[in-house]
Amino acid sequence: MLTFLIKSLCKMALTLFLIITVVFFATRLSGDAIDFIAGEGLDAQSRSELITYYGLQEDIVTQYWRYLHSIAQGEFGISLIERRPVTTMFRERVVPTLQLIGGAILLTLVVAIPAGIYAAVRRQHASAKGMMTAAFIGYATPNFVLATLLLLVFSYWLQILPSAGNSTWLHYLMPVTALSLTYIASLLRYTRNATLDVLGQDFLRTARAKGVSEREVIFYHVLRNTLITVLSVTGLMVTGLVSSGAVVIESIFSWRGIGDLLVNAAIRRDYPVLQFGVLAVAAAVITLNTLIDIAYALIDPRVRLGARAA
Amino acid sequence: MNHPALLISSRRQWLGIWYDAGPLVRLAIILGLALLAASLLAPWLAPFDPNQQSLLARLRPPVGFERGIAGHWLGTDELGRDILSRTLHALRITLGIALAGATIGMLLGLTLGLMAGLKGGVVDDIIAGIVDMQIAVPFTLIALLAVAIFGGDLLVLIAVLGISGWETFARVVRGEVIKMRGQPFIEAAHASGASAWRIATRHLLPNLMSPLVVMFALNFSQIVLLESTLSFLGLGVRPPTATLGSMVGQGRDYMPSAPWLVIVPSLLILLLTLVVQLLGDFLRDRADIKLRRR
Repeated sequence: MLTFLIKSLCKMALTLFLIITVVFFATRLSGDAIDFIAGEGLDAQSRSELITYYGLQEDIVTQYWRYLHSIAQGEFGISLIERRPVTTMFRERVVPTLQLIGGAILLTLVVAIPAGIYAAVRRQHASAKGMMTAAFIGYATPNFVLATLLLLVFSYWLQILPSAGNSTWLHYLMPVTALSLTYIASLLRYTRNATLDVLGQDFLRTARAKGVSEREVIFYHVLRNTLITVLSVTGLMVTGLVSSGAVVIESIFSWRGIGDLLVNAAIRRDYPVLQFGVLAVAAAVITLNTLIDIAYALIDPRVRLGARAA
Repeated sequence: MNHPALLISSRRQWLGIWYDAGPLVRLAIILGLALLAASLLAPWLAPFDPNQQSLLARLRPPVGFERGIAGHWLGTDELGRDILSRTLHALRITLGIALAGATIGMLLGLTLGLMAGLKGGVVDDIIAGIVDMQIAVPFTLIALLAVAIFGGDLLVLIAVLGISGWETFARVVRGEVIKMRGQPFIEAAHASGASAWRIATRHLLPNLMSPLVVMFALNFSQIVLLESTLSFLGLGVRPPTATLGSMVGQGRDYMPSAPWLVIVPSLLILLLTLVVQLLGDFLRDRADIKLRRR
């Protein structure tokens, strides 16, 4: 187990280091760095000052070394627009994003897992078929389309839900729904397939044969075995939620979180903010994936021995 | 590619797809072809120039509603541009971008997957490392960073979308190649002195066609989604050129008074993603069944 832990941590550190490196060189190789650091219409005096400030007169290896050095000290640069450390800006935005994502994860799990098991157990029933159709449509619906249509109906036509901000629980309804839909749809399909696999297993026949009630079969035998499969998918989903979903939804509902910050940074070409954003989110995703791997290794000894199925 | 036997088999495959399809998938095929035709014929179908402004006919609703103008079937936008014409041209651009992006992703993933599978060892490790990185950095962030560095531009958008899907292709191709590598027909090719290039193009590629088609279809639907999302956020092509996503994004400002600005392109995006997803899923299931039968 210890070997596995050390291996996971090394791989995690290596991936993160590679990302830092790639992001650094990608931004430097794309032309004169000062032009997007400082924008256009700069006089020669301040231009040379900025070049000295950012150390751009030195060769690229020295710059890279200095960059790594400052990261190690926890300095990730200053926003070009707001002239504040990017770390401070992110700290202000973390909580709303976590609230939004937490709400979406909760809604997804609460809706998708029972619905998925139901759709598998009653798979011939019309309601289960209707559910799968709804899941298919939900999966294909882009979240910004759903969010826009929700806004139109509930904020502008019916005027019962607020369109922006996050001060009351009513503010959460539309963003959380719009963010969750894709994930509910995909988790529902996964849960259904996982349950169908379990339903075909021999141990269920044994359980029924020895007189276990149908309710107990579903809640005890099926649910537990399904959850093992579902756990892995949930990990992947969280990754998607943290990144893609939240960015769009926050931007639509003026949710003052990290996604909103990143989109505005991209539009205003506030490049240090994005650079840190990529690193921070990548670090979060990698940590999460490593934790999931470790959880797996704890549950399933085969993983520890490196025999994890692809 | 122009071998006569291959042409016949591909024609048979097209017929087979129609034969295997249920009523829903057949409807999706017909709708898909209709959307494709509409996008190809957009310059002839569109009643107006998509960027022609008319300040006297701004924000008019579709025909049949109060204040609607005859000729502007789906109404006009804030600059008096015809929505039907803009939507048709936007569909054309959306599909074009998605096609280019999915093709780039496929070629990139195919090449790297073949290399990883055939060479193994260090090459495989390096490519696996790049895949890990791509998985760790959520794609929307890569796109945002690219836009911040290079600016919003059609070519940047296509390049970014192209690198969004390569890793799926690479992983699947690598797995298939490793599976095939030990089989007698590859060993025979090796023994008769065929080069790696020849083995890859003549022996492996034909066997990869079926998974490639399926992945291309699935990736295409993902790219349509991504493109419309980025354009919606204002990070895609530059105005006045419109894609479906950017029409929804810009129409948002007029939502209370002129909801048709967002409803028309939203519904078309919905239709497009549903059709593309349905066809992709169908192709995937169909390929799976064949794999199981073997």
